[in-house]
Amino acid sequence: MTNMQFLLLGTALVWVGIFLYVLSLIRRQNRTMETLNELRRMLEDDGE
Amino acid sequence: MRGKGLTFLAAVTFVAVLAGLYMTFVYAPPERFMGDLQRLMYFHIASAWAAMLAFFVVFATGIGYLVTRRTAFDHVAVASAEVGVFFTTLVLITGPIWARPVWNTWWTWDPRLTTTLILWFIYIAYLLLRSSIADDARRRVVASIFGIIGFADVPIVHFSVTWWRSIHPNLFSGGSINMDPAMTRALMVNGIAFVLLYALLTWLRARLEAVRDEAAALRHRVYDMADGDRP
Repeated sequence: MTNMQFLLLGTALVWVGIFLYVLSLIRRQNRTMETLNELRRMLEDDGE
Repeated sequence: MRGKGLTFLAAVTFVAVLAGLYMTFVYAPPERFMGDLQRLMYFHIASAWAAMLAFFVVFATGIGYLVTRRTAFDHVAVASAEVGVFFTTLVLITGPIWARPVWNTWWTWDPRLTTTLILWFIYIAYLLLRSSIADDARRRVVASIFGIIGFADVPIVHFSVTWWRSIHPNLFSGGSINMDPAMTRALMVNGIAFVLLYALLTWLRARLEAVRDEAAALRHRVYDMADGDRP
């Protein structure tokens, strides 16, 4: 494997990792927002 | 408005990253002695810049939290520390890969390398410390103080190559960058791309921390109400 191929492979791995991290942050955000909305509904229902 | 800002930042970061990759692999010439391996430098130095910025933000938001007690500062601090640790990890991985053929060793206890490793340990400790304190207010105060004190290592890392005898190259000497202009341009584009990536990751992570905090507070209220309903 040449240095250039090694660098390209390493770079691709790192960027795929960063992309997956961003996706996981967005998914966790959406899940937490769902929980948040559910809790708000529970509090509103209890308040009535 | 916030969603639009985030989308805009993501788009700009994506373009900057593509430009950085083009500059690294196509535009920049290979180095005379190190060949293509020297292209690692664009990621190595850009990651170091992003890490330094990240730890400065931990420092500044730590002060911000202690002065105002606004939790938004703490959300940015934890996000910035996590992203900073990621960039420092990149620095510590790319450095030895570059050093092996050039210095004939993966690692040496050089001042720049040693202080950078200490920096990495400091912010790993910062994150561990945060996860070990259950009380929210106490955790925020302790983490802010730790983040402020921990930042003292950043200038030491920067000046280590001039304060002590070091084999690590000093990019800035005599007030200018000692490099081919094409390489300097490639480095600058990568520097901008990595700083934008830092901003994007920190923003995403900080907003997650904010909704987590809000959910935890609401959960407490739900539990309190459930307790109040009990006979």
